[in-house]
Amino acid sequence: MRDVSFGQYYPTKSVIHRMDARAKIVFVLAYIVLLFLVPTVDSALKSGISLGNYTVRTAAAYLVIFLFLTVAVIFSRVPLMKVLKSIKAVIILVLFTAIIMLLFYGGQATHIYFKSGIISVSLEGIISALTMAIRLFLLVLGPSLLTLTTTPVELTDGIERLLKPLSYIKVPVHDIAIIMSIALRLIPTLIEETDKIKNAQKARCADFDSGNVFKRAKALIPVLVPLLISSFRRADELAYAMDSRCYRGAKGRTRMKVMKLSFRDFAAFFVLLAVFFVVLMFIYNYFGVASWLYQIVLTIL
Amino acid sequence: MSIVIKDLRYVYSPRTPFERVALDGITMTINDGDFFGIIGHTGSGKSTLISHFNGLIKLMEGSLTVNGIDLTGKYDYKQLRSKVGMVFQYPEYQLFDETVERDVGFGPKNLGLNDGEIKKRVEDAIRLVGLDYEKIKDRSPFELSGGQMRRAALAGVLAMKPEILVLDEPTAGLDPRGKREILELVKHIKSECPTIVMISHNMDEISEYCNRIAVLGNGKLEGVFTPFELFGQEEIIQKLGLRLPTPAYISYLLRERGLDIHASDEQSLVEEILKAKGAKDA
Repeated sequence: MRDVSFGQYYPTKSVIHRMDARAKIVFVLAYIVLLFLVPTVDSALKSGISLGNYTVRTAAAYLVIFLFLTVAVIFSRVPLMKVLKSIKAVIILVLFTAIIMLLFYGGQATHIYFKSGIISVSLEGIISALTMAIRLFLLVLGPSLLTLTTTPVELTDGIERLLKPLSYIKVPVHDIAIIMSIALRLIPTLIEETDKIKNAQKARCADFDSGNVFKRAKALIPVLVPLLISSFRRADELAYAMDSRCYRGAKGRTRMKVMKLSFRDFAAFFVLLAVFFVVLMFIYNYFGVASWLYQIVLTIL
Repeated sequence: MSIVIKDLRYVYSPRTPFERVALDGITMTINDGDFFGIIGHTGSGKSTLISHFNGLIKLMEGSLTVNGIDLTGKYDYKQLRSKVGMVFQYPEYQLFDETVERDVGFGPKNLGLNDGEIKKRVEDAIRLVGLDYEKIKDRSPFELSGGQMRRAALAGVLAMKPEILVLDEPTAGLDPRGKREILELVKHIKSECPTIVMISHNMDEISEYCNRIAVLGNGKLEGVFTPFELFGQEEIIQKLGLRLPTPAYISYLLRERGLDIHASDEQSLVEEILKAKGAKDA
């Protein structure tokens, strides 16, 4: 159980760790938007861009994003293996979708290698599957860098502050944030608790690892029942503890750590802005950069 | 020889920033018929050590033999776990089934015994822990009182007829009377299950009940002593932030003030103080 820790906060002191959580959250959201701005094969072909041209543009765009991410990882001083662990979690999903995409590509296709019934393998399909796989990997890596460099408390604080405007339309932002931070706080405790109960039942020769799905599900009852009971007990105790320290919700509550944007946040903002600009330049052919790059690639080949 | 431990070493989360050596170079032997105590401060590795005994933690380095089963190689988990009964801290939190009878029968059922044998073992175990079988068997374990729940959980382990019973702080969270009752119960159980290993924080209870005591500090074994030997080890005990049993501690304080007193229990402490006083008066 202890090994399900991908994306878990990695404590070191780095520029990225010290950045304002709000800034990091906004940047990650922007990063995700950027990934989705890169067009798909089909939409590019429909707007009259040749397949070769599209491949060159997209490759350049992803390369820039990848470089940006690499630099961010280096600055964060989180070991590469920790970052890559998040990929491990989605690799099957990505491979599966890529293969489906490859076999059932439904857009325009002129370079068809193989066709049988509804299955067809085409160059367009291959490129489409590749870009999708790259996009998904990049999509997972960005947010996992966020959670690797930001403590859950900072994260929920950041979200609370970012959602603050919603409280004017009666959204209970503070309560949502406190629920989130309690939930996050209790995940390790629950994992530990599960471990303990599992061990106690294993000591009574409970078998969790053999038999079919139903048998295994049934084998979990001796773990789930005590876990549920202890969760209720814990919730009760926590409620009393909060009550006895006069917790009253958001009203009049001040913070020990006041979030403040600093130089590094602005610096990161400008870096991200530059990345945005360069990527969009390649995608939308600003100043003819993409065509120019395409020509260079053509002459080299 | 019951449990033979040699050069045992265990590291949590190796090769990460959370890396922590839990056990380092533990070598000791627990004999058949021992009431073996393990004492140490929080985080000294006591629980990690006992989790090795029934294979809940895989051996990392070193060797371990439990009742002739060599845990370094491949072995039969079920066979091992039926021989080593493990009672964790707050065992009542592991109760789950609808009735006490079914909950206590969980272990024997996992061993694949037939219904008659299960029923017999459940009845024996419930009686052994001092509960009224007829009254309690059809009740939900969650309706019981705290002390009864702990006994029922203990019965759940005993129903597997272990040859070695390992208890991790069986008295945690009980009032003084409850503590005494549980300890007396463990002593009584010893007639059925001759080898007992008990973890405790409390010097008083461990020195009263155990015949041999291992002292752990920061994952290292400071030594295995008889209770009487242990009283002479003030340095080790103080270094580890533990305290001698009360009579021995008072004797130690009196010795520091120049009185020659070596008492291990309340009665002999009183006798020796009176003797010293008599000598002074005379």
